[in-house]
Amino acid sequence: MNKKIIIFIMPIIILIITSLIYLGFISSFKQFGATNNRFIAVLNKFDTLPEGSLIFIGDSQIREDISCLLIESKLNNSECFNLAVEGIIPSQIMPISFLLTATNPKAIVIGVSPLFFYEGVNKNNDLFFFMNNRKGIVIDKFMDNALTKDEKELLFMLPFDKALYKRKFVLQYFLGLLNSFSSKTQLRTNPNNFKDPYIYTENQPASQLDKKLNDSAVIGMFDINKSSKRQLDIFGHFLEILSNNKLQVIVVQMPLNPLLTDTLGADSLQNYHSYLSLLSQKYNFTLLNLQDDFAKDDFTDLTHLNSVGRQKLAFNIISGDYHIIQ
Amino acid sequence: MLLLISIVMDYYLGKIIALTKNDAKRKFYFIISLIANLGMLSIFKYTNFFIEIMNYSGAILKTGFSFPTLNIILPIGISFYTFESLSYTFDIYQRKLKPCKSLIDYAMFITFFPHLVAGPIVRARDFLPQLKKKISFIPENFKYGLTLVCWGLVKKVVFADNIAIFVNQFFADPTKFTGSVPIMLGALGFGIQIYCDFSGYSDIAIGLARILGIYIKINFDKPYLSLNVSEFWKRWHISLSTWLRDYLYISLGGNRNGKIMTYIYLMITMILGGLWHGAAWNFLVWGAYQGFLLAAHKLSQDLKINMLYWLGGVRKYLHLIITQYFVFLGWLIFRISKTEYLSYSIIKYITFDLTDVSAELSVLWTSYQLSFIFIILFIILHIYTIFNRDIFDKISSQDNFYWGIYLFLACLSLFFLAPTQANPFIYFQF
Repeated sequence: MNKKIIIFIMPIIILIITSLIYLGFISSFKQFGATNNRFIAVLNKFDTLPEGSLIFIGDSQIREDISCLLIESKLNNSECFNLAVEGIIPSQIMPISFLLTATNPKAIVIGVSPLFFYEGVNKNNDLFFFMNNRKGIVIDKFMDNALTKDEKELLFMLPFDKALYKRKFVLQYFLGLLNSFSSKTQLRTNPNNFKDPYIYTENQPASQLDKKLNDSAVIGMFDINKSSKRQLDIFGHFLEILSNNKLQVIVVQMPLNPLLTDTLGADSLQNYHSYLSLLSQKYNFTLLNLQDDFAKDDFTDLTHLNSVGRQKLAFNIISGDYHIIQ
Repeated sequence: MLLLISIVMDYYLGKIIALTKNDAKRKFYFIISLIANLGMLSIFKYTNFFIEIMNYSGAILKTGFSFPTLNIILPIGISFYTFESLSYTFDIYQRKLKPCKSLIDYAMFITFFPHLVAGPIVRARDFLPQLKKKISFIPENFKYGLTLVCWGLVKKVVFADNIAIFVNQFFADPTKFTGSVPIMLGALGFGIQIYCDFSGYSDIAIGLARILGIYIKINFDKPYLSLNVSEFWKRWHISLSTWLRDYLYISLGGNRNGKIMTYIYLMITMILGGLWHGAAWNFLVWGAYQGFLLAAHKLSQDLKINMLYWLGGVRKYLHLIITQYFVFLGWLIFRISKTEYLSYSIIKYITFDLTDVSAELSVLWTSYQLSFIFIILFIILHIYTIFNRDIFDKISSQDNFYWGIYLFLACLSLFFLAPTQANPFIYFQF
């Protein structure tokens, strides 16, 4: 073949080959990080969720605090599933509301804390990416207005753009692999564990807790007055959807370490409680406040229960103290 | 429209200047070109800056007046094509260039797409003669051009954009860090980011031009290997620094009016060069800082000061480190527009405060591992080029198999290593 033609055609062929190599690799790549993998597993779980189940949803507090293995021992002919995802916020739960209602659960238990409504840290927009093109993900008019341009872009991304977007996880994965060789602590992560998915096994040292308690940015995250109005509104809409579907909904104010609640202003906690009480009256759901039953020794850190706290919570649920199982 | 006005005006003014015999009239027509070009640039780029200065002065003098800033959109590439147009009329005025015979050719020179938006600032005397040659497909040009385009893309998309993840987060609030080392890393990160970003664009522009058979001179020549600031400016944004030297510094008087005036001309040239980058105080200060460094270096040469002579062979490396220390301090001024952040960062940069150094480095490494890996990789590659000059000539002159492997690796790295978040070229804003 003419030398000039080869030089001209070769780059085009190389571009096609590299594109195919990339697309082939990325279509089989499934490592998106612990949180995203967990979220994907939760989305997949909806396909096989039995009717009449007790479903727990929320962020890492629910993941750490709820042991379905302990709860199931007292359930009659129904199963318990802990579908919590670390850092998830109402705008990311709302699109799966129709998946939730379609499973016709016995009850939906939503664990919340002021952090659940704070957008500063919990902004894993990639969760929208994983909802893209998923069966059962519905965006109603309210959500269409509430979601940001970036969130909608991820939610409705086209296949080729999706393939390109996925590359952000490739580098992270390989870096994570490298780091895992030097890391001393191995977290107990299994995205498909819906029964007892806690991952924290050690209590944080007092010095670290002190550091957090003295950090105004950390404390600010738990102040309902600094919460995102958008998230508060979306949560209200989410409850409205569940209420319209005549589902039994229990909203649980998850316990916070007393060290933290003592640091937070009384009026902040009062506003938080008032907000949930108002919603409870409006949408007729059960509101539980677990705060007073837990001491600082029940926690691994400022928000998550340790094994002692987890058992105490499960015992209270099983023994009917909180009327979750009826 | 603005571009069209600029093209038509300078094309005909160039013709008139060349045809006019009377020196005073030639000067008059040249001044018209100067005022018109700089006027357009000033209106679109500096109006709000002047309004802010007036308002600031008014507040200090308690005059009570305050003008609202205007909603002016900066035309893309105006800083670049204005300097190209000016160099055209200036060269004709100085009788170094004959006017272009065809308006189309002149328009082609100004609007030639690879360099229109962000340079390099091409001279008419280098570009226009090339249009007279017949354009044909030359395999060597195609190979060299594509080699350069691919490398430019890798520099921009893989290096600059990955480093930008750290730089953008870091400079959002540098006061979060208490020690000097994070500030130095921020300066290093931005210095490498802006180099990869801008030289990457220049490589793409030069490569595309070469594919089309047009030769454009290199715009960057390993600036971070410079042994003094003067050398740095001979290696950094060469098309701008030579433009400033030929049309501003020499026109002001260069080194013809004594040493003191030379230093002053250097300062003026660099202050205006700084302002060319953007209408903001930090660019003005950055320009003044660069002028000061150049003047200080010139002074040390004039006085034959060489404090490090006793170091022998190690001296070269120490010169390199000291030069880059001052260059990267300059990048802090360039990057940070908020006065409190800038003063904080400069103080930290020069005081070598090692408070919490290991804890802060650990936080930075954990949060921005990827960016740091690309910073380290860039430093290794930059040093590697000391031993391998003309690397693109070597790659493009390889037989097709090895050249194909280079393209293959470049394409793969673009697919796999580019971050999801795209960043526009930094110099697009200028």
